[in-house]
Amino acid sequence: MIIKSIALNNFRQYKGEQPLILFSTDKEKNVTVILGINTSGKTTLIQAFKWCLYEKASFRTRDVINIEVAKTMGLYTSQEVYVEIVLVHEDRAFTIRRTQKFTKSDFDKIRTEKSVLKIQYKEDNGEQQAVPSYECENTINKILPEALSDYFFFDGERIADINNRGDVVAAVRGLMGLDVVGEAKDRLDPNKASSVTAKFSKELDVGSDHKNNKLKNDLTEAQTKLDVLKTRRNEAKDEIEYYERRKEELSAQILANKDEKNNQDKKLSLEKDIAQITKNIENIETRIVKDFSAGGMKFFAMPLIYRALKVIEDAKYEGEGIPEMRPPAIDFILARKKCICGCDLSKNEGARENILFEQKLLPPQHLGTALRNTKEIYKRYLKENQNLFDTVKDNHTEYRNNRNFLDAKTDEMKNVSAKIQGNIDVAKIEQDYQKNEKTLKDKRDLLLKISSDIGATEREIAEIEKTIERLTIVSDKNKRLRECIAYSKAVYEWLKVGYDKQEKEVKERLLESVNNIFEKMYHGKRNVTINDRYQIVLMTLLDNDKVSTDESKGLEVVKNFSFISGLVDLARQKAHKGNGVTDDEDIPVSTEPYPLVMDAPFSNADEIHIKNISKIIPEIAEQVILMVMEKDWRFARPALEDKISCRYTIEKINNSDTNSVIRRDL
Amino acid sequence: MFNKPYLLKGKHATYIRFLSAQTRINDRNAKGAFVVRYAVEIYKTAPLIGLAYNRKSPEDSQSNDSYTIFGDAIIGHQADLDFAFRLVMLADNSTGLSSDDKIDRAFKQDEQPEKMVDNLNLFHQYMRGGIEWLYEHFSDGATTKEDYLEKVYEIVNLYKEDFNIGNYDNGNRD
Repeated sequence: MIIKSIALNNFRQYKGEQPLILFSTDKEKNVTVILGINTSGKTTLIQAFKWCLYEKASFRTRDVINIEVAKTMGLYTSQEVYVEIVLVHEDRAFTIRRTQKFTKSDFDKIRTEKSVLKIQYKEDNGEQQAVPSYECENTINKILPEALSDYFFFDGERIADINNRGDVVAAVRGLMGLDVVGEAKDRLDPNKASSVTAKFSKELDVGSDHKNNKLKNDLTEAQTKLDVLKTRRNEAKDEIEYYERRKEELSAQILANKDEKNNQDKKLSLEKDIAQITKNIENIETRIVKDFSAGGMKFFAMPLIYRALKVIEDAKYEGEGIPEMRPPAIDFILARKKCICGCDLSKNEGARENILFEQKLLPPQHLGTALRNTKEIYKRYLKENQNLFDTVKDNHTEYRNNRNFLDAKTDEMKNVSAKIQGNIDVAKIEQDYQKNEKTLKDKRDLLLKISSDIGATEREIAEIEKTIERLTIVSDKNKRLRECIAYSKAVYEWLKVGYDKQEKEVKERLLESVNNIFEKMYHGKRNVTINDRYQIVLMTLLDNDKVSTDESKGLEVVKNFSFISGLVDLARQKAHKGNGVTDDEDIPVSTEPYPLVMDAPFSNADEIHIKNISKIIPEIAEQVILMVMEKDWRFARPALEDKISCRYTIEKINNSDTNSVIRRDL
Repeated sequence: MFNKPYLLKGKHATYIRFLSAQTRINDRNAKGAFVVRYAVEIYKTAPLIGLAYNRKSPEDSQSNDSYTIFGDAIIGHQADLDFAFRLVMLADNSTGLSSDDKIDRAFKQDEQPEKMVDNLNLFHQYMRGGIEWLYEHFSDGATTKEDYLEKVYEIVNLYKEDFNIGNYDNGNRD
C-alpha cells in the first residue's frame, strides 16, 4: 500500500476544501515531510487517515466538523465533512472517501448523520468500479487491517505503547502475511470446535455407520442362517424321499404277507383263548375239588339217611318224655316200688313196665325231640343232595366242554402255527410301517417349518438389504466427510508445519532486522531480543551475561523505532522478494509494502537518535510521511534531505486553533 | 368224641394221602388224585361209603405208612363227624340190632366208654372200607389230573345209580 494523496474538507482545523495533499511515491525520494507547530494540525492529519479508513478518532464524533463551520451554519443548513485518500494496493488504485453530513436543526443543535464510506477502484482496463457499500470495510481491512494501522499511522508521543500492546502478535503475523495462513490453519484446526474439520466431524453420521455395521453383521448372520436352512431343507427332502420309499417297501411287504399276518393274528388270538380256557379249566378243577369235598359227605349219606329214617320210624318209643323228669327220679320210684299214684309196683308189673317205658323217653336226651330234629335234618339233606349232584354234573360238563374247547383251540393253534412261516414278523413290519408313517409326518412338518423359516429369513434379508441401501447414501456421505476430514487434517498439518517454520523464521528475521536497526540507532553494550509475544526486550551485556535492563525514555523510543522499522523493513524485503519472506515456497504468503506515517516521531529522542532514526527510516520503508515540528526537523533534515520529494507546512490562519491550511513547499 | 387226633395206618394212610389235596400242598411232586381238599373230609365221608357198600376193613399192618389227622382239623369238623357217626350207628344192620337199639347206640351210648369203643371201631371199619372203595375207584384207569377230576363225576354218578338217588321220594328208599 502506497498512499498517493489525501483530501480534506471541513475536517477538524481544516476549514473548507483543502488543496490536495500529494505524497511522495518515488522509490528513491520516498519521504514526504509536513512541518507544523504545536496544535497546528499535524496529529489531525494522522487522525484524518484513521477516520477515513476506520472511522477511528480520539475525539467526539460531532467534533469532526470544523468548529468555525459548525458555528456559522445557518438554521436547517447542512455541511459535509469528508476525507478522501487515494492509495495503491497490489497495483490497483483505490479512492477511499468517508463523508459525514451535519445539519443545524436548532439554534444550538447540530444533527450528525451517519458517516458514509465509499470506495472506488480502477479496473485493469482503466474503468472505475465502486465497491459495494457492504464490502467497503472488508476491502479496507484487506488493504491494511485496522489492528495494524497503529503501527503505520503512529503518534510519536505515544510510541512508548507501541510494543506493549496485546495485539502485537496479530499485527506481526498480519504484516508478514502469516495471518492468512494462520487463519487457514485455525479454521482447519481439528481441536477447535468451530473449525472446518470439527464441522465435518459433526456432520459425520457416526450412528448410521454403527447401524450399518450392525446391519451388515445381521445380513451375514441371516445369509449364513439361510444357507444352513437351505441345507437342512435339502436334507429334509432327501429324508422324506427315503421314508416315502421305505413306506412303499413296507406296504408291499405287508400286502405280500397278508395271509401270514392273518395267521399270526389268529395265532395270537388263539394264544389268548387258550390262556383263558386254561385259566377257566384251572378254576373249574379247583371248584370240582372244593364242591366235592364240601358236599361229599351229605351226598354219600343219602342211601344211609333213608335207612336211618326207617330205623327211626320203626322205633317203638317215639314220643316225648315227661318234661323235667330225670332218670334218677324214675330209679327212686322203681327202688321204693311205689308209684306216685300210690300203686304197689311190686304187685303191678304192668305199671312197672309203663314206668320203665317212661324212663326210656328220658335224657341223656329227649330222644323223641332229638329224633324228630334228626329226621328234619335228614330230610333237608335229602333235598340238598340233588343240588350237589347237579353241581358236580355241571362242573363236570363245564370241565369237559372247556377241555374239549381247549383241545379244539390247541388243534387249531397247531394248524395255524404250521402255516406261519416263522421268520417273518408281520406285526413288526406293521410296527415299522406305523413308525415310518410317524417319522414321515414329522419330517414333512419339519420341511414345512424349514420352508417357512427360509421365507422369513429371505424377507429379513431383503429388509436388511433395503435398510443398508438407505444407509449407504448416508454412508457415502460419511465416506466423503471422512475424506474431507482427512484432507483438512492433512492440510492443517501441512499449514501448521509451514506456519511454525515460517513464524520461526519471521521471528528470527525480525529479530535480526530489529537488532540491525537498533545497532544503527544506538551505540552501546545493548541489544534486543524478541519474546514469544513479539515484544522487544532490551538486553545489556554484562560480564558476558545478558541481562534484562530498565529503559530510559529515549532508549525506549529507539527500541520501538527499531521494532517498527524492523517490521516495515521485513515487510519491504518480503515485498521485493515477491511471494515469500522465507525460501519455503510450500506456503504462498503475500505482503505489501507499507507506508510509515509518523506524527512527531522524534519528540522524546535526542539529537543523535533523531539523526540515526532519520537516516534509517527511508531505507526501511517504501514510503515515509513525517509530521514534524520545526525544532526536530533541524536535526533530522541533514539525514533526510536527499530523500524528500514533497514538503508541506501547516499554517494556522490568524493564529487560530480552528483554522489551518496546508501549504506545499516542495 | 371226635376231639383228638386220629392216626391212620398202613395202606389207609397211603390211600388217604393219595386222595387228599393237602398232600400236594405239602409236597409239590407228590402223585395222587387229590380230589378232596382235606383228609378230615375223607375221614367223615368214607364211613358212609363203607357202610353204603357194606364194606368194613380192619386196620392195615402190611405197611408202616401212617397218617395223622390233627386234632384241630377233627374238632373243626366235629359236627359233621357226629352226624356221620350217628348215621352209621342208625343205618348199620351188621349186628342185628332192633331199631330201638340202633337209636340207643346212636344217641345214648356216648357216655358209655366200652360201648363207645365198639361203636367207634365199627365206624372206623366202615371208614377204612370207604377209603379203600374211594381209592379203588379213583385210581382205576386214571393217571392224569384230568382223569382223576373226571372220576369225581363218574363216582358220584355211579353212587347215584347204585343207590338210585334222586329217583325216590324222601323216605321211600329201602
